[in-house]
Amino acid sequence: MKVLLIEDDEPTAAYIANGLRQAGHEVDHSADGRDGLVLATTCTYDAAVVDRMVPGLDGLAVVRTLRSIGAKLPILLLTALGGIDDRVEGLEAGADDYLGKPFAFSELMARLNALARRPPITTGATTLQVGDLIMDLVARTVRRAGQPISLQPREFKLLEVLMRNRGRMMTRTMLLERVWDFRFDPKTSIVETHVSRLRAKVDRPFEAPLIHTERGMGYILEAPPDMGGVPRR
Amino acid sequence: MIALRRSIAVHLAALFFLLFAGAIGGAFAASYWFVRAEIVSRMRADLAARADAIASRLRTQSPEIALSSETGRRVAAVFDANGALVAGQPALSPVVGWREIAAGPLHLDEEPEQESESVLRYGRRVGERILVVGEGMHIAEDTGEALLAGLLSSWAFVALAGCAGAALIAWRVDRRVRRTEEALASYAGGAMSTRLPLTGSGDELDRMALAVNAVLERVAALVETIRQVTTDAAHDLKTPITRLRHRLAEAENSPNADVKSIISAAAADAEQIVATFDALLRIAQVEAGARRARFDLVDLSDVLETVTDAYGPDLEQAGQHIETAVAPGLHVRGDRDLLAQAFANLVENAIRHAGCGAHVSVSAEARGSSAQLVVSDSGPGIPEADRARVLQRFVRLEASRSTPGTGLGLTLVKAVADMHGATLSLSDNWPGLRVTIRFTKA
Repeated sequence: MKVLLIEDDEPTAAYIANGLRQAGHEVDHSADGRDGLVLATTCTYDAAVVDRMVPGLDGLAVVRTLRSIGAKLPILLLTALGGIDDRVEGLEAGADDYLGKPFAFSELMARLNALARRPPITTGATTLQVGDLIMDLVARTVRRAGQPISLQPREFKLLEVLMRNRGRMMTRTMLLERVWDFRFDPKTSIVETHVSRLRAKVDRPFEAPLIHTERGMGYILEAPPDMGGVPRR
Repeated sequence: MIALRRSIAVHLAALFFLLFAGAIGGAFAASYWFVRAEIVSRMRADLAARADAIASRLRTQSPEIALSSETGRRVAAVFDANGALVAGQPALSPVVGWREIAAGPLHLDEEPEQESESVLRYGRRVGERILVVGEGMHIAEDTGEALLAGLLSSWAFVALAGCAGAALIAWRVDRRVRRTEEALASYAGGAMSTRLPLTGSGDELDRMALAVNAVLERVAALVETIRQVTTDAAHDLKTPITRLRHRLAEAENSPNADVKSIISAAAADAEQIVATFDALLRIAQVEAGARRARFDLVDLSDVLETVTDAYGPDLEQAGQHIETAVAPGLHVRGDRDLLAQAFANLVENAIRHAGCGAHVSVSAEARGSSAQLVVSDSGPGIPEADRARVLQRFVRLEASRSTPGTGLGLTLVKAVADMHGATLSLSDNWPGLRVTIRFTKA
């Protein structure tokens, strides 16, 4: 995809741009809010990564302006401010997601992927299917290879989030936000233990695992290629 | 000395003087008008009666004799059918009806040197003849003069009282404003405990002083927060930063060093620095009350369930047992994210410090108008002497600081409780630690 990056700190910008290019994306970079806004309005992008504190025009104003002229591209706001209200302010300005500095590139990439390829149909769907795993959102039941799997409410929610984002990496913080609505960093391994419980029910009794761990980064739910999944690199 | 031209009190006094002077002038004018009207109407009745009396005498007596009773300020004249004077005051004219003759040269026959005054006259027919009677209007005029004198002296009093009042008000206002100025100057000079003096009267200046004091309080709190964060950051961030520097220097200088493991250790150091810094900022902002404007109705029961549910597996892995007794539907006004983090910190504390085999209990119930939340464990607890201390920043009871953690967990819990107007207390769980937070129900 084609990504617009508005970030004034050179090393950070290079880090993000290189990472995105290595992942096969095209990047336009601007170190100034005003120039970035001009780029955003003159070219078409699939997503924008905007630092909150850039010279020229600050990031929030860039986002607000883009939204006010009807730009729909997904925007990920970056910030070095650790403020507890910053996230809310960012989202209120019209950003789709928010990432505090410092961050791991994998986190940024995962969030950008989740934003940029947001499937439009999932809202209306009543069932989700990945390989032989089927989730009925109305009856709140899960079956794999025809066998019913009994899940706790939170495990169900965790599996639902993973299934809705099939093939995309979900980082630990993304799962904390989406499954538990936690916006802090727990000092224990909540996500890991819940995922391993989920695995014990969803994967262990069956032949091919669906939940895959990306070490130190997060989890991906994907069917094996022979069940219609995309081969993983 | 007060700069009179700029004094609000003097402006007010001048304004009130003008207003009062105008009002008094109006009152006097109205009085004059009413009094004069009354006098004139009495004079008319009197004149009409006199005219009747003379008219009846004219039928039997000669005009000279009939008019002889009219002396002093009373004048009268009789004219024949052609308007020629028959007897009496020649200055009167033979006109029938009422008329006021303004300050005319109407000398009364006996005292021709007397001052001129206006005269009210009345003429009527008596047979063929015309009778005219008149009377000087000195009473009405004297009343007017008396009222004017009263008006002038009233104005003088108002002016005097106004000046004195203005001086008094100006002096008092000036004294209070001066005290306010001094207090603010001392505040600006760094004495941040200074507050504006209050008289306790509850007047406008007191109300303003109260409002200003609230602002001063808030500014002082913010400044204190900044000072605290700066000190804390210096205190607890220098150590990991120094360690990080040493690691990097080692990687740079020693050729045989295992660079990869040094780098990953350095990255962990950086991670720790960021975590501490984030925690500090968060506590500072919570303490400064930055988020109160975003308070919303929060289902405390739901937050607790979510947190205990999230940590359930971790507690089991730590070999601990958890019991939850959360009454449903407890609502408070607050910030869900921060409340969740505070509860999570309490549960994490129990996992970390209560030890294997410990029982952890989370309960919440309504107690009158409050919602009481208790997180307790059967671990070693905190000695009574240390309970207040552990709520401070970076206080960790193990001297070695070997267990992970920033020493900020309980500080944040305390800050979040304070922000929500909740009371936090630590007590003995016999054995173990019992943390009680009491919220006001929404």
